[in-house]
Amino acid sequence: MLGVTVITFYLSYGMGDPLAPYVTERTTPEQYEMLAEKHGLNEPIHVQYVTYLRGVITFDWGYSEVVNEDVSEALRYRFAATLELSILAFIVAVATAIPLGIFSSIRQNRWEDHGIRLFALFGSAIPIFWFALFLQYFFTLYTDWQISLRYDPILWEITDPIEIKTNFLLIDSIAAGSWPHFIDALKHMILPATVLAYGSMATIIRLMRGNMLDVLGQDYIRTAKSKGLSENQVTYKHGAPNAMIPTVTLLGMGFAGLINGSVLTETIFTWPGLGAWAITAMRSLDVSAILAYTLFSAFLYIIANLIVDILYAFLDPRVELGGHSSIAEILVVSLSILMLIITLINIDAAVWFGFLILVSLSGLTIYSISKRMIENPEDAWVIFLFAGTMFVVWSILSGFFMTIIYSSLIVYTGYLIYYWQDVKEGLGPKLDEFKRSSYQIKKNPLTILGLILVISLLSIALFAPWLAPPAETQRDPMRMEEHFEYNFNHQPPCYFSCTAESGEEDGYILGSTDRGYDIYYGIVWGSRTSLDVAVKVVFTGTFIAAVIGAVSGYYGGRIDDIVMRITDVFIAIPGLVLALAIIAVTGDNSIEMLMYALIIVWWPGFTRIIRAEALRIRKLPYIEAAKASGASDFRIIFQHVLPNCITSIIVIATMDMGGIVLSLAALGFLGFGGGPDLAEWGKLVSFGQDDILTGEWWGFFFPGLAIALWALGFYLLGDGVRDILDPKQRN
Amino acid sequence: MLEIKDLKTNFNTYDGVVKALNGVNLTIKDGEIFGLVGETGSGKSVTCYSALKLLPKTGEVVGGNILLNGEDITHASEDRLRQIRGGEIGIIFQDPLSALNPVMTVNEQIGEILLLHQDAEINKLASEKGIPVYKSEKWKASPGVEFTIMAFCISFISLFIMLGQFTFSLPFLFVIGMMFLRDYLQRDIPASALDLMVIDALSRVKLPNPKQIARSYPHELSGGMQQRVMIAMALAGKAKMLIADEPTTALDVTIQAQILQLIKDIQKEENMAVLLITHDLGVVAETCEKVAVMYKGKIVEEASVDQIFTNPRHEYTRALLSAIPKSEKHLPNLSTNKKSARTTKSESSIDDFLKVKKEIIDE
Repeated sequence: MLGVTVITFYLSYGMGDPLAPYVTERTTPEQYEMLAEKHGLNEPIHVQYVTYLRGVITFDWGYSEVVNEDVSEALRYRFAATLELSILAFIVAVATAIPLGIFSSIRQNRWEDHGIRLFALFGSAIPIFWFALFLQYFFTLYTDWQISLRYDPILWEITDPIEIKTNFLLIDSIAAGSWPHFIDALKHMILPATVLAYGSMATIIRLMRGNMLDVLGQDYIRTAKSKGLSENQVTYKHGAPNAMIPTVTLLGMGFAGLINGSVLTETIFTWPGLGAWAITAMRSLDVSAILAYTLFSAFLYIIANLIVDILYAFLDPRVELGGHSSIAEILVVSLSILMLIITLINIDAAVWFGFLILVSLSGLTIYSISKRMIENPEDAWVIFLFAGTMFVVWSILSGFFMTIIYSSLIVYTGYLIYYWQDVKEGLGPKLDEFKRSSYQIKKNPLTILGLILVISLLSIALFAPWLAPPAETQRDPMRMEEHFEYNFNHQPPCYFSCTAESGEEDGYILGSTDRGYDIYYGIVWGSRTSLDVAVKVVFTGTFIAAVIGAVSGYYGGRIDDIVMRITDVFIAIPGLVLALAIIAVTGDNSIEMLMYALIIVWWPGFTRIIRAEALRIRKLPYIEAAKASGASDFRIIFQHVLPNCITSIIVIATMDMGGIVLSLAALGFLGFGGGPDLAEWGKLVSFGQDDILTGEWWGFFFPGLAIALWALGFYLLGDGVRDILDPKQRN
Repeated sequence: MLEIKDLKTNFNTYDGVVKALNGVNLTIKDGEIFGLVGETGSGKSVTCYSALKLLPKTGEVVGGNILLNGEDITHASEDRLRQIRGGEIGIIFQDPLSALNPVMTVNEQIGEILLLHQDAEINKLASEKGIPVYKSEKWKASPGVEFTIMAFCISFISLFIMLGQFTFSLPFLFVIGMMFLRDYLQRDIPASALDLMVIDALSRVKLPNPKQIARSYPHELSGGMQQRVMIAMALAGKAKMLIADEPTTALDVTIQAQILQLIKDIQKEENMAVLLITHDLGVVAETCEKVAVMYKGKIVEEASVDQIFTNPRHEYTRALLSAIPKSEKHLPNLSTNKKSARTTKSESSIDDFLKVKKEIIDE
C-alpha cells in the first residue's frame, strides 16, 4: 500500500502539475513583503501578485543588488557551476552507495555490515559544514591542494585562457581540448563533490540495504535459488533490480538533499554557485534574489522528480504512466495554465480571472465540507480536532506546554496509585516485552552506543549550571559575551590542566574563539539550545502530522488530495532553503523565528509518512471489523489507526531529534537564529571557521563534534528502536 | 530416487532452538507420485527445503542423511547442489505470483534455467537449425537501459552542437543510428534456439499462445497461467523429480483440478518422481500412489493411498481423516436440516480430532 501511495503521488507529478499552483500558495505573503519594501504597498496585493507572476514566466525575475545585475542573468551562469558540482556528487554518491548497500545486505549482521552501517550513519550524522571544514583544514595546512574557487585564476585567465561557452568547466576544457585545464577543474571539484556526495551517499546506502533485505526475503528469491543459480547471480540478477525500484523513487529526494547541501558546501569552498550566491543575498536581505532562488530550487526539484517518475515507470513493468488523474486535478491544472496565459496578455483581466477562480474554488470547498457535515453531523469533531491541535501547538510554542506536561505527570501518578491493582496485572506482559527489548538492545552494540550518547548529552544539558557555572555578573546564562569579565582571544585548549589559580587567561578548557568566547561553556549551554529547539519542533511537528496525517489518510479521497497538494508545496522546496527564505524574508533573526521556520519545514514530511501509514492501515481487516461493529470514525482513528502508526512515529521522531539539530546548526553556522553571542553549536563552528588558516583547529572541531555526537546518538537510537519495535525482526 | 534418512532440522529463534524435524524417514521411488500430508507447522515444507538446502538463514540441518540416486548429498558442495536444484530436482511453490520475479519476463525467467541446465541442448538445436543461440536483444528487453542510453546520447549531441563541436557528437549519433537500425536489421532474424526452447517448455504445460506468454510479465497472467509457468520452469531443466509444495493452495477449485491433472499427465509422460506436499487429503486421494502422514516433525504413518483411506493404522491419521467434513447424502433434502446435520457432524469430528491430538501430545 505504501508503494501505491508513493506511485500515485509521483504520477500526479508526472501528469505535469505546473509551477503555477505552487507559486500561488507560497509566494503571496513573501511577495507581500517584497513589494512592501520596494514600492511601499501602493497597489492592492492581488494586482502585485499577478504582476509578479507575469515577471516569473517572462524571466523578468527582478534585479539583485548584491551582485549588481539581473537575477535571471545571475541564475543563468551560476546555475551551471552548481549543476556541475551536484551532478558529479550525485554520480559519485549513487555509484558508490548502491554497491555498498547491496554488499551490506548480503553480509547482514556481520562486521562488514556493521562497518558500512556505521559509515552510512556517520554520513547522515556529521554536519556537512563540519566535514567540509575538516577537509579544508587538512588540505590547506598539509598539502598545496587548491581548495577554493572553481579554477586556478592564473591558469585560466592569464597564462592560457580558453573560451568558456557552457560554463561547465569540465566540458569546456574538453571542448577546447586542453588537458591541464581539465585536470585543474577536476582538482577543484573533488573536495566539494566529496563533501556533497557523502551526505546523500549515506541515505542511499541505508535505503538500498533496507530494500535489499526486504527483497531477499521474497519468494522469488527462493525460486531463483531453486533453479540452481549461484548466490551472486541471485543477488545481482534477481535481487538488485527489484530493490532498485523503491530506491529510485527516493533519488529525487536525494537530489533535493544535494541542493540543500550545496548551500553550505559552496559557502565554505567559495564555489561561485547558486548556493553561495543565495547566502550572500540572504545576509543582505536581497529579497528578489532570495525569492528567485527559492522558486528556482523548487523548479529543479519538480524536474528531478519528473525524471525519476519516468525512470520508475521504465524500471517497474507493473507501473504504467498516465493513470490517476481526477477531473478536479485536470480542472485545477488547466485553470492555472489559462491563468498564466491571461497574465501574459492583460494584468487586469488576470486579476479578475484569478479572483473568480479563487472565489469559486473556495466556495466549492466550503459547500462540499458543509454538505458533508450536514449529512453526517457526527463528523463535526474533525473541525474541533483541528482547533484542538492548533491550541496544543500554540501551548507548546508559548511555553505553556511544560505546565501541561508537569500537570499530566502528576495526574498520571495519581492514576497509577489509585488503580494500582489493575496496573499491576497489566504489568506482566509489559515486563515480558521489556525483557525482550533489553535482550534486543544487548544484541545490538550500536543501539547501546546511541543510548549512551543520548543519555550523556541529555545529562550535559540537565547539569549545565554545575558543569559550567555562569559568571556571577551574567544576566542570561545563554549569552557567552558576559561569561568572563575579560575575554581572551584564540586561547588554545588546556583540557584538564587548567586550574582556578592560573587565572582566566588559562581557564579555557577547550580553547576560546576570536571574541574570547569559552568553547567549553558554549558547548555545555548550547546543548540546552539544541534540546529546547529539537523537542519543541519535534513535538509540534509530530502533533500536527499525527492529526492531519491520520485524518487525511483515513478518509482518503478529496480531503486527502487537498492535504497532499499542500504538503507537496512545502516539500518541493528544499528544507534548508525554505527555512532560510522564511527567516530572511521576515527579517526576524531570533531563535523563536528559527523554530517556526523549522516547524514549517518539517511537518509536511511527517504528515506524509503518517498519512501513508494510515492509508495502509485503513485497508486492513481489523479496521473493517471495527467499522462493522459500529465504532465511530473518531474511535477508529484514535483507537486503531494511530496506535498502529506509533512505531513509525516514534522512530521518525527519534531520528528527527538528531536531524533538527543538524538543521539548526547549519542555520546557526550561516549566521541565522538568535543573537550573535547565543550559546549555539553551529554558531561556535562558524566562529572557528575563520581561524582555520592559522591552524587553530579547536575553534571548529569541538562544537562540530558535539553536533555530530548528538545526531549520531539519536540516529543510532532511532535505528535500534525500529529494530526492536518491528515484530518481523524477531526470529 | 530420493531417500531421506533420520533428517533433523532446527531453527534458532529468540525463544530458543525449535526442532522442526525430529528424524524424518522418506523414500521416493522413480516414477511415483508421493504425497506428504500433515497440518500446518508439521514440517512438510521444511523437509523438502532441507533436502535442497533452501532453508532460511536461521534454519540448519543437524542430523541425518539425504540420498539422491544413492549419492549422499547431505554435505555436498554448493556447486553440486546448484546442479541438483533445477537440473535433477525441480520445485514449485505455493503462491505463483510471489514466486515469480515481477520485473523479468517469462521468457527471461525460463531462459535462465535453460541456460543453466540445458546448455548442450540449446547449442545442438542452434547448430541443427542454423539459428543463433540467443538474440542480441538483451538490453532491449529492459527499456530503462535503452531509455537512459538514448537520453544520454541526445543530451551529449545537443551539448556538442551547442558548443559548435559537431565532430564530437558523431559517435553518439552513430549509437542512436544503430539503435534504430537494429530493429530493422533484426526484423527477419528467426527466433533464437533459446526462444524456441522456452516456447516448447511453455507448450508442454498446455499453455495457449506460448509465444505471447513468453513475452509477458508475471502480473499480466492469471493465477492458473502463473502456476503453469512455474511448472514449465521447474521442468525446463529436464529434472527427474518434481517437488510440489502445496501447488494448488492459492488457486480456486477448478484451476486446482486442472493443475493436478497437468502434474499427473506430465508425470506419466516423463515417468518422473513427484513429491506432492499438501494439507488437502482430497488432493492426495485423487493424485497420489503412496502417502506419508507427518505430525510434529515426524512421519507417523506411511502407506499406499488405499490403505490410508480404508485402514489407517495410526491414531493421528484416523483423527485427521475423521476431520474431513462429509456431505450427508442420505438426509432428507431440507436445507435447514441438512445444514444443521452438517455442522454438527463436522464440529464433532473436529472435536474428536483435537482430542486425539491432545492425547498424542500428552504421550
